[in-house]
Amino acid sequence: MIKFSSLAYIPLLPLIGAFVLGLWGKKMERSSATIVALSTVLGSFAITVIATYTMVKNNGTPLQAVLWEWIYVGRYRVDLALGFDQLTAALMLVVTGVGFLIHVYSTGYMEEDPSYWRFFCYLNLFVAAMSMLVLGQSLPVLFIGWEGVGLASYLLIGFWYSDTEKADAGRKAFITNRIGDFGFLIGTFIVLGLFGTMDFTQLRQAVAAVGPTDAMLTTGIFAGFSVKAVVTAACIAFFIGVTGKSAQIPLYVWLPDAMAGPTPVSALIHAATMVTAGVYLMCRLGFLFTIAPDALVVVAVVGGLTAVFAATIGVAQNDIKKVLAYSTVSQLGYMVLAVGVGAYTAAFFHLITHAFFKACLFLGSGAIIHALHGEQDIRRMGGLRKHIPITHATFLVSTLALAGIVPLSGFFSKDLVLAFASERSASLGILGSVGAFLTAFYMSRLYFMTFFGELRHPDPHMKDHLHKPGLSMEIPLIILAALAVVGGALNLPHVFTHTDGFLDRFLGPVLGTKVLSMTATAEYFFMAKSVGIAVAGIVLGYVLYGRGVPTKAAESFVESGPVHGVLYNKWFVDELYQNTIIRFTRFLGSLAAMVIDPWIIDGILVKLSSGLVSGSGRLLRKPQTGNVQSYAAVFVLAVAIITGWAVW
Amino acid sequence: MADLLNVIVYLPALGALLLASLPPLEHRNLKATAIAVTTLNFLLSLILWSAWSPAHAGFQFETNVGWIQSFGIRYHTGVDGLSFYLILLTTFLVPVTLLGAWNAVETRVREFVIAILVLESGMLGAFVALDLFLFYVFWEAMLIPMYFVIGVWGGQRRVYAAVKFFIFTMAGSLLMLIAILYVANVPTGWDFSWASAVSRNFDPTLQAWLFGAFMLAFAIKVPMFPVHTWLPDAHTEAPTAGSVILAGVLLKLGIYGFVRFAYPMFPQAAIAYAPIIGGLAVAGIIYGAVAAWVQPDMKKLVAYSSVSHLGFCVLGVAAVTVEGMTGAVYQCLAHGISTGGLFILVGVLYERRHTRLLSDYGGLARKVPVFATFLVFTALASAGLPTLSGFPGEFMILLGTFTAASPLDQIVNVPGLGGIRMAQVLTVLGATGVILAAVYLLWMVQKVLFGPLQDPANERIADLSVREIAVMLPLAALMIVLGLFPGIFLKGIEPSVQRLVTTVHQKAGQTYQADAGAKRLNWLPAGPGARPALQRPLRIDPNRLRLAPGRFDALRPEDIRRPPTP
Repeated sequence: MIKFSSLAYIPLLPLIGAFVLGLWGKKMERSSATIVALSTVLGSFAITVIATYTMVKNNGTPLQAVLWEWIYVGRYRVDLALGFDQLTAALMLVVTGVGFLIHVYSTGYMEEDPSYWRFFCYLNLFVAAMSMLVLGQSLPVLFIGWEGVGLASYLLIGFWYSDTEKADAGRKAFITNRIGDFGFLIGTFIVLGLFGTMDFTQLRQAVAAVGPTDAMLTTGIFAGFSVKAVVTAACIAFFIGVTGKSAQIPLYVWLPDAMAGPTPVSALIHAATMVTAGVYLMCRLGFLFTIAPDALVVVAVVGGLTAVFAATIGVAQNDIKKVLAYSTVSQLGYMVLAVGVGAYTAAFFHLITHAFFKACLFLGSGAIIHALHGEQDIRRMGGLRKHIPITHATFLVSTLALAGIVPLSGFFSKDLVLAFASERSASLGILGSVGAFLTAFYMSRLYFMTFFGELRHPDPHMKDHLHKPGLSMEIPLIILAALAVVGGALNLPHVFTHTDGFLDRFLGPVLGTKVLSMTATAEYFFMAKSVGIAVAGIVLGYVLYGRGVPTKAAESFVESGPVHGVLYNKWFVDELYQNTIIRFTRFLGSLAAMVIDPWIIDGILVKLSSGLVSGSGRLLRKPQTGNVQSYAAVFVLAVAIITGWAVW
Repeated sequence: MADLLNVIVYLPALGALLLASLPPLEHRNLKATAIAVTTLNFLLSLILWSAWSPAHAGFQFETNVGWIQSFGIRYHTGVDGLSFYLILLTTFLVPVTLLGAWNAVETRVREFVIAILVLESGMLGAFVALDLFLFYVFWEAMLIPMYFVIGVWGGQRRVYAAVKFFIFTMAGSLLMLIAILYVANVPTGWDFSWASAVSRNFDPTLQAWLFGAFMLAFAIKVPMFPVHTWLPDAHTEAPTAGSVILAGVLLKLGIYGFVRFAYPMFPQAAIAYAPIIGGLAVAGIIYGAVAAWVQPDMKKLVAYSSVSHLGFCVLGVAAVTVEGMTGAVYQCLAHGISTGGLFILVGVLYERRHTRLLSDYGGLARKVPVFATFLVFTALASAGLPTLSGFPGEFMILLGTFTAASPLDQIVNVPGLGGIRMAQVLTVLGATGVILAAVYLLWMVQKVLFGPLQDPANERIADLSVREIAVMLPLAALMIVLGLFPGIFLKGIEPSVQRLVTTVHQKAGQTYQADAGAKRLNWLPAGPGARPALQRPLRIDPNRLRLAPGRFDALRPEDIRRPPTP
C-alpha cells in the first residue's frame, strides 16, 4: 500500500462542483455553471490518470488514502479510506472519462432547460458518489457510494418532477435499489460476523487463510455451519444488492422506467456506470464468490435468464430509449453471467466495451430525440440517415458493436463471455446465444426503423426544422464511437496474439486469470458461430424492417398478436409486483393504522382501563341504595355474624 | 463545573419564573426573552462540553447533597456519556424550536413560553438525576407542561390527545413509582440512590416484576409497540414546538430510562426478556413503517416514522452489546435532529395553508425550492442515507445485533418453523425498516413537492423566510456532522456504554448462562443429514466485550475444525 492522499480529490472535486452549483448555480451565468461542472469532472479524470500512472510505475502496488476515522464502535472500526488498485483504475477511467464526455454532450442537450444548473449539480453529485463507490476501501465506504448513486439517480430520473410519471419513476428506482441495499447490508453483516472485518484487503487475507471451506465452525455466531455455507449466504445477500443496482431479475423493473430522466442521464448512469456497480461489486468480492460455488450457480443462471428475458421485451418496444434500456438490462445479464461462470475479467471487459457503445447509442438516441423535438416513438421516425449523418454513422457503428460483429469491441467481449459460459455448461451457452440473436434482431429493427425509409412523423414539416445536433453533442459521439470500434484491443484473444490480453494481465492481480480451455480450432469455430448468430439476427431484421417500415410478416408476427402483447407489456411483471407486494404492504399499513391501533390496542387499553374504573364505581354504587331498611338489614346481619364468630 | 450543570438545569425554570412575575410583555418580547434564555442555556452547555472528558466512563460534574434525609432521598445529579449528549440535544433543540415556531402560537403566549421553559428544566433534570426519587419528580414534572402544551395550544382534537397522553404516561409512571418505592425500601430504612440500587442483586422472580414495572413506564414513553397509540394523536394535535420537543427529546427519555435504570438495576430480567423486547422492537419498526405509509396526514406520517425509528433504538438496547447500545444512544441524537427538522418543516406548511393533509399539496417544489431542498435533505437523513445522520446509528444497531454474542443470539423453537436464530432473524427483519423508511418518506416528499401544482391555493405559498432558514441551517449542518463525523459523539458515548454493558453482563453472569443453555434448542428438524444439536451454552466472554485495538480475530484457525470423516 502506498499513501496517495490526492485520491480524496477524485470524489471531492465533483462534490464541490455539486455544492457550488446547488448553492449559487441559479444566479450563475450559464457559461460559468458549465465551467464549474466540466472542470471538476475533468480534474477527477486527471487525478485518476495520475493515480493510475503512479500505481503502474510502482509495479501495481495499490494506492491508499485514509481520510478520517468514520465509525469506531466496540470491536469494529471503519475508516473513511479510499483504495486504488487495477480494478479501481479501470472503472474510474471509464467513470470520469466517459462521464466527462457526457458532461460535454449535456451542455448541448440541456442548453434550453431553465434548470440547467440543477442538472449539472446532480450530475456532479453522481460522479462524486460513483467515485466513492469505486474507491471505497471497505464495504461501508463502498456503501456510501452505493446509496449515493441511488440518490443521484433518483434526483436525475425525477429531474422534470412536475410530471408525476417521472417523479414516480425516480421513486421506484430509489426504492427498488433500497431493496438491493438491504441485501448489501445483510451481506456485510454476515461477512463481518464470520471474518471480523469489512476492509477489502483484510477480507482477502482472511479468506485466503480459511483453508478447507467445508470445515464446521465451532465458535462464533455461525457455529454449526461450514464456512462455505456462511459465505454462500453472504454472497446471495450481496447478489440481492446486485440485482437491484445492476437491474437483474427480479429487481430490474426500475431501469426501463428510469428512462424518464434526461437522455444524457440514461447514457451515463443507466448504461455506462451506475448500473455496472453490481458487476463491480462482485468482481471486488470475487475472492468471496469463488469459495461459494453454489452462489455462483445462482448468479450465472439469473444472469443468463436476464440476458434472454430482457432481450425478448426489447423486441416489442417502440420507445427508442426503452429498447436501449432493455438492451442494457440484457447486456448486464451477460456481465453477471460471466461472473457466475467465474470469468471476472471477461465480465469487466464487457462492462468497459458496453460503456463505450451503449453510451454512444444513448447519446445518439438523445440526438435523435433532440432533432425530432422530443419524439421518442420509433414508429414516427425513419429516414433520419440523410438528415443527421454523424449521429447515423456513430449509431450504426455502436449497433454493430452491440450486435457483436467482428472486429468491433462488442464482438471480443461478448464472445469471451459466451465462450466461458458454454464451457461451464451447454445450457448457459445456449441462453447466451439466444440472447445474442435477439440482441442483433432488436437492434437492427431499431436501426432500420429509425434511419431507413421516409420520416413518418405526424408533423409533415418536421423534416425542415429538425434540431441538428451541435458540435458539443457530435464530438462525444464520435469519440465514443471510435472507442466502440477499437475497444476490443483492450483484450485481444489469446489465439490471435499468442499472449494474454492486456486486461487479463492488468486485472490479473485483483481478479485472477482464467483462460479458455478449448483448442484454437474450437475457439475460431466458436467465434465464427457467434458472428453467424449476430449476422442472422441482423439479416432477419433487414428482411423484416429493411425499408424502414415493418413488412407484412413483421406486422403480423412481431408487431401484433398475443406474443407481442405479452412482450409489449413486459410480461406483466410490474402489474404482478403492484398487485402482490405493494398492495399487500399497503394493506398491512391500513390494517395497522385503521384497525389495530384504534380498535384493538386502544380498544383494549383505553376502553378496558376506563371500563375498569367505571365498572368498579358501578359495583360499589350498587349497595348504596339509600334504602334505610336494607342498610338496617345488612347492619343486623353483620352484627349477628360478628357476634356469632366471636362467641364461637 | 457541577454548579454549571445545575445552573443549566434550572436556568429555564428561572426564566419561566421571571416571565411569570413580570408584568405581561408584548408577544414578541416574550418569545425573544425565552429564546434568549434558552440560547444562553445552550451556550452554557457548550462550555460544559469543553470541560467534559469523554474518555471517562463514570459520572462527571456530580452534586450530591442531602435533601429529604429521613427518607434517604438525596439531591444527587451528574452526567455520563449516556446522558451528556442528550442534554446537549435538549438545550440545542429548545431555542431552535422556539424560533421555528415563532408565529405558530398567538394566544396565551406568556403561558406557552413558560410551559416550554418549565418543560426544558424538567427534561434536563430527568437526564441528570442520580437519585430515584429525584428522577421521578423530574419525570412527572415534565409531564404537566407537555400536557398543557398539547391540551391548550393543540389542534381540534387537542383535549382527547392530551388526556390520552396523560393517561398512558401516568399509568406507566405509577407502576414505576411503586417499583421505585419497593427498590428504595432497604432493610436499614430508605435509600433512593441510583448507585445503591444498581449495586444490589435482586431475586430473579422479583427482578422480573420490578423490571416489568420500569419497562412499562419507559416503553410507553419511547413508545414501543403496542403501547404507542398515544403518540400519533399527541403529535398530530400538538403545536409544532410541542411535536418537535416531544419527538426530539421526550421520547428519548424512554430509551434513556432503559439504559440508565432498567438495565443496570435488573440485568437478569433484561437478559431473560431480551427476545421479547427485541421482538417487540422489530414489530415496532415494521408496524410503524407500514402504518406511516398509509397516513393521509403528514404529522401522523412523521409520528409513525418515530415509532419505527425508535424501534431501532430499542433493538440496539435489547441486544446489550457495545455496538448496539452505542448505536441506540446515537440514533436518539440523530432522530432528534432529523425528526425535529421534519416536524418544523411540516409546521411551516401548516402555518401557510392550515392543512396537514398530503392530498392538499403537490407540485410545491417549483414554488418553494428552498423548502423543497430542506425537506428532501431531511427526509434522506431520516431514511438513513450514508454520510447523513440516520446511517451510523442504524448501522451500529443492526451490526451489534447481528454479529455479537448477545442475549438475542439464541435459538428459539417456533412451532412449525423449527429453530430460529433469534439475533439474525431480528436483524434481517429490522433491516427491512430501512427499505420501508425510503418508501414512506419519499412518498411524503413526492406528494408534497412533485407532480403538477393543482390546488390554486398553493400558488401563493411563500418559500422559507430568513428566520426559518436560520432554524433549518443548523439542523441540516448537524445532520451532516452526525453522518460524517460520528466519532465526535461516539468517543463520549462508548466508554459509558462499555461500562454499562460490562455491568449488565457481569451481574447477570451465572443465571443467564444456565437459562440460555436450556433455551438453546436444536435448529433444523431432525432427519437424515440433520446437524448435530448445538450443545454450546451461550457464552459471554468478557474479553470479547472489551475494546481490542484493530480487532481482526473473529475467525481464528482454532475456531475451525475439520468435518468428521464418515
